[in-house]
Formats: sequence, structure tokens, C-alpha cells
Amino acid sequence: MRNPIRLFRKRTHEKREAFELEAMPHLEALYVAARRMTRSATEADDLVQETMLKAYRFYDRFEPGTNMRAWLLKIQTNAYINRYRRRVRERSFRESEDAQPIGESLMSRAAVRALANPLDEAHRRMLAGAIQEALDALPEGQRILIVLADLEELSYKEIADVLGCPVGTVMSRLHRARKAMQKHLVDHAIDLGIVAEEPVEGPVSLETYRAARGGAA
Amino acid sequence: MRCELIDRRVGAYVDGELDPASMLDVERHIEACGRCQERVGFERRFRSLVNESLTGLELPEDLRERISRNLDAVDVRSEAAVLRRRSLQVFVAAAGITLAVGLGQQARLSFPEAVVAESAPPPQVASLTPVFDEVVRLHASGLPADVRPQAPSEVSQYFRDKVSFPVTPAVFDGNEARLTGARLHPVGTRKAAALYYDVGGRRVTVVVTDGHLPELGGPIPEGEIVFRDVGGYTVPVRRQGDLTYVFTGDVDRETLLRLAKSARVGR
Ligand SMILES: [Zn+2]
Repeated sequence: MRNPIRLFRKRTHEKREAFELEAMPHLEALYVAARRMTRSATEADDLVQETMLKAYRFYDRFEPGTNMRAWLLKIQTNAYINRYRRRVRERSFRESEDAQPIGESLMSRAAVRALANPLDEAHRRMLAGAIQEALDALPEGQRILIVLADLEELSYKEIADVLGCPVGTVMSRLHRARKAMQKHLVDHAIDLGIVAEEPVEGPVSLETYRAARGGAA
Repeated sequence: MRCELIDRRVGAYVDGELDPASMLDVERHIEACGRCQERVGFERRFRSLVNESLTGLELPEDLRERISRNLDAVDVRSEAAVLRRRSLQVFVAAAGITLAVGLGQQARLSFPEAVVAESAPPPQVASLTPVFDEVVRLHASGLPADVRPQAPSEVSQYFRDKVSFPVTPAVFDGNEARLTGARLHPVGTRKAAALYYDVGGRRVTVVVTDGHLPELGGPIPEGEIVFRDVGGYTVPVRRQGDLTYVFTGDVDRETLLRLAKSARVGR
């Protein structure tokens, strides 16, 4: 006669083994994302634990053959957003961010050129701090996008699925988020003397630049 | 295509997320425009700077282990649930594990000489033990702590404006149990303080609430310990003044009863 308990244990064991094999290797990625989203080691630790617990409970909902890392990040991002929402309650952070002007412009050609070339190790280290500052300073929703796109390297489609928004929205918000970080980075590079402010051209708006150049290519 | 349009698309271009037609447009423009070539170079450099500056964090030392224990708890809990759903007596015998639910399982220990009474198999399976069940469920789920205190006083402070009674963490003899965290967690309709301890690497949860547990039929004499076995866990209860302390954990019954007995609770 089959023993139902033994059968149940066998199934539990198999599920656990499969989960350890498939999900546990993504722990570092989850932790990096959690640290950058929460900006706190303690909260990140909690968030990753919550994520893994949820993922294990809902493991049977994972579609085999799809991206496990994206699935885990979806669970984690939503857990984080829920926590954050609980804290700010009435304010809808996503909408307030869309209200901000996009701020197209203001990237000096000299800065672009200087930073487009390979940097030496010392300069890279100096800029690493500025990059973290820039990320930490972003509004919640934009920070999440940078984490998912540039740290976790999910596709726009995967990000859209995580956040439950259209791909076009991912593209435009990501553009805005990167723009803000790039501005911070360039300002910092100028302060550090890594990039020289171009005396004549200076940081010019795109409009000015185009006018000077004839505008089309 | 104008440079301005390139600026808008350079991110998606570097990400390889443009549709083929736009991709071609951008490439055609870039070939002819030095400024935009630099812009693409900058975008690539930016991307790698971001990635190398913000990744490469080391996992907290014991995180992997803690997650593993959380998953163990889920496994234990789901097995307990299966056992409870089925005809209990048969499978308790078949599985050879201690599992008993029901009023018949209440044992009373006189304090300080705790004697563990062996209980007969329960005549019924109905859950008459909601608070006990909830404490076991909370423990098994391994929900994260709200605070990780350096000192017990931080816990009292944390709960000060959250519950209507003073929370004094239980202190155990010989530092056998280390307070690792606390969480505000409702038990039934009451607000309760869940305290997390580490006992030789195993988790022990102590839930503090005020008033008496209705399922015990009346107040427990102070200094006595009452326990039940729920879902594979032993759950001792102790009263101190107006407060009730409910214990459970991933340790054997003897250890848990000893802890409940030796705990210094109250003010
Ligand atoms: Zn151009």
C-alpha cells in the first residue's frame, strides 16, 4: 500500500531540490537589487528573505522555460513596492514622477567625449561614488528601473512585465532616469577635474547646439 | 534624422531594444555624425560604469543559511497541514512523529519541577487552539523581524506606541538564547509582540500578549507552565501578571519546556 505521507515527503523533497537548483543561484542578483532599491543592508536582507519565501510558496506558478531571475525579481520588486507604498501611503510615486520635466539637453560635448573614452582605474573609482549617489537620489520608480535595466539587465519586455506597464513607458521612464544620473555624473566629473568644462562651448542646450551646427545630418 | 532624436533613442539603441527600422535609422545617422558617435560611446561607458560601480556586493554571511531554514519551516508546515487534514491517528503512527492537536493534549506542569506528561492520542482533530495554531504558523513562516535590537530595551522602545501593554523580552539563564529580532504580529484579534531568539543556531519564537487565552479555559496560575503540541511543535504557555507568554521553536520539547521555565519574564 502506498504511504501518502512518504509520498508527500518525496514530492516536497523533489520540489525543494529543484528550487535550490533553479532559484538559489540568483541570490546574489536579488541581494544587489534589494540593496540598491532599499538603500539599506538590513532592509535588503529582509526583502530577499521575503522574496525567497514567497517564491518557494508559489514555485508551482513559475512557468518552466521562462526566465527564473526575472520571475524572482518580479516577486521582489512588488514586495518592495508594497512596503514602500505602505510607508508613503497616499502619495502615488509613479504619477508624481511623470509630472517632472524631462530636461532634454545640457550635456557638454567635452564631457561626453571625455567620458566616452576609457577611464583609468583611479577615475573610475572616483566616479563610482558619484554613481551611487546619483542612483540613491533618484525617485523610487526611476531607481527601480535603473536596477532592473542596468544592474539586472532585464529586457524592456521583462521590466514591463515586472512593473505591469507598457514597454513604451519603460523606455521613456528609463530614458529620464538615465538622463538624471548622467547629469549628476557629468557634474561630478567636472567637480573632480576628470572632465574639463569646455570654455567656449560650455554645457550647451541641444537647441543651441543644433542651431550652431545647422540642425540636421 | 536629427541629433535630438538620436539622444532620445540612444539608450534603447545601446540596449538593443529598437525595432529594426529605427535601428537602421540610428545606425545610418551615427555613421555620418561624430557628435552622436561620441554620444553612443558615452552611453556605453555610462552603462558599464553603473554596472561595475553598483553590483558586486557580498551576501550577508548567514543569509543563505537563514533562507534555507525558512524553507525548512515551510516544508514542515505544509507536512503538518497535510497530516492534520488526514485521519490523524493513522498517520501519526505511520509517520512516527509527534503530532497532537486537541483539548486532550493539554498538560499542566507544576513549576519549578517540570514533569513532561506523555499524552494519549487525541480523540478528535477539531482545532480548538486558534492562538496556539497562529503562534506555530507565525514561527513556521519565518516572517522577517521589524527590528533587530542590540539590547532588549530597544524592543520595549519599539513596541511602546504599538501595543497597549509594556513588552519586556524574556531573558534566559546562561545566555542560552540570544534575542535576534522582534515583530508586531496580530494573534487572533489581539495585538501581540513576537520575539525571535536564537538557541544554538535554532529559531525560537516567543509571543507576548495581554490577557488570558480563552482556549485555556481560565487563567494559568502564575509560575505554572501549560503546553500543547500543535502541528509538530510544542507550545508552552506562561503567565506573568497580565501578560501571557507563548513559546515555540525548532528545538525539542525538553529544551523548549526548560526555556519556558527558566525565562525571566515581566518587569
Ligand atoms: Zn548627430
